Amino acid sequence: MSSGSRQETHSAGRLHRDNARKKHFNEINFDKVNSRVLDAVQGISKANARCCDCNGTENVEWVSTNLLCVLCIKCSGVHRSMGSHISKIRSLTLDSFHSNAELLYLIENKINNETVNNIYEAQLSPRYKITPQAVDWQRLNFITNKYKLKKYVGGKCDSLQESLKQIVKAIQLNSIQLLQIALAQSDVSLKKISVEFNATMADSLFQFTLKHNEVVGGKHLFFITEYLLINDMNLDSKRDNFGRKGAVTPTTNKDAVVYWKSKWDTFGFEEPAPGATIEVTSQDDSALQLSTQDKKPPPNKSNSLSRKIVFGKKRWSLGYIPQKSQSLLLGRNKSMKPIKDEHNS
Amino acid sequence: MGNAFSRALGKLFGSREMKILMLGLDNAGKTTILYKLKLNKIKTSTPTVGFNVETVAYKNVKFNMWDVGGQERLRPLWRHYFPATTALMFVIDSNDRQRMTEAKEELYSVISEKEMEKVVLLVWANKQDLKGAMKPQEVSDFLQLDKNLKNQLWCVIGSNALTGQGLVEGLSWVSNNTAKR
Repeated sequence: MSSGSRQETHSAGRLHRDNARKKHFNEINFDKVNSRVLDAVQGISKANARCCDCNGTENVEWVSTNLLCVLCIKCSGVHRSMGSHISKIRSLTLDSFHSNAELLYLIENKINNETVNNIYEAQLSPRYKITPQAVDWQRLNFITNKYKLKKYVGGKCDSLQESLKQIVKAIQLNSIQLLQIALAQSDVSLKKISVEFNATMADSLFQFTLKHNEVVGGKHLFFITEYLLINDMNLDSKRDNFGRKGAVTPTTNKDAVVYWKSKWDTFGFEEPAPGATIEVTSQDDSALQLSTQDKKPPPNKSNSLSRKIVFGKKRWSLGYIPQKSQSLLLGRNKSMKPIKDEHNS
Repeated sequence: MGNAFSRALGKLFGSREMKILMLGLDNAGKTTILYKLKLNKIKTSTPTVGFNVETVAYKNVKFNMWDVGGQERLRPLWRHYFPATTALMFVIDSNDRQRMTEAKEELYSVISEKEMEKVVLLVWANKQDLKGAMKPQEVSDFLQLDKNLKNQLWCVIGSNALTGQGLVEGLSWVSNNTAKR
């Protein structure tokens, strides 16, 4: 079918495709501006010239921003397939980091394959490491074991309190490396850890990390905070940040407020609310259905889970979702039609 | 001209052909969706540097599907693929809440282009298999298409490219809603 239908593609389409291809590559090629970032990454450590997972030397231009390692394109593909909660992949050449000073700082200073492998391959016998020639399934197995299942990490820790202690210590020492170790060894997610911290301490974890920054070029750089946010630490809502005792206020650190605001604008809508949960199930193979189930909300020690987010015009909450089960597909579409008709008439 | 001719033929024989543009942030799942539809297989995909194009036949419709890389520096190139697009399929990683706003901004910047004002818009809230993923309804609420899109037909469908869940529904919706064009 493939070749047949390809041939039938009309000539206009083909011409257009060729043009698109030409334009595409013309525009990519001029763009070597980003090699500065690539050079910086390779300058951090000799180990950064090779892929963190397969030791390959080709196309080692992909970084995992939450793990802080640099990868070849094939291994980066496997990282992406695990989901962004395991590894967040960016390209050193095709992505731009200039709108995010903290992330740029982390990438240009903290990416280190040696550190990452000391942590994630601590208990790996070298002969089990994959080579650049590894086929897809070998790569997939190895990388899943290494980062998702953390099979080769030493000194795992399943206690929330212990993990919290390690993380606080790392923050106090301004050490990304200690944070990497603490996060790798912890079986508890940073999300849970930050909820625990927020419930028991005067400051939120977010505010606590803001105090550990570095001044670069006269500006505070919150790279510790950035690194933890990338690893899914909770971001304070508007209310926490200004309402709490001891909170960072505009008078104490203006940069911190600017930083928080930029994060809030980027992903501040995100906040789970207890109450209805929705499950998508596929019935037969044809229709997707939405059904709501009322589940008892978990007991709410900190009220950080229960608040609704109201920020500017954005309003986002799970409680808003209609309780009746409904068919997702066509309901939406029908609701569009009257509007369309109005416009036409 | 060839275009008009094949369209006329298509009308005679009841088959249609249309250009579909698949866009979305990097790592949303565009290439995985494309090859799941085309080959019904999961290809371990590497990031798309450039684009892929495949023809997928569904019922009597041939979809020429263009899948373009989504990295930040590739996004300015998206506009080269706009001409003659019938439907835009925008793919979102429902699990990556931190980048929802970025996805929303990119989506609006594409559909507010003059060349795209007549396309129908299908949003795939992809990666529904992941535990923390936003549900299709949440994605839909977040995108606020009902408020902002007055002239375009649109639809948000939850999908899981690994199992194929939601993909055929998407094609079918596009096919049903472009019949008269």
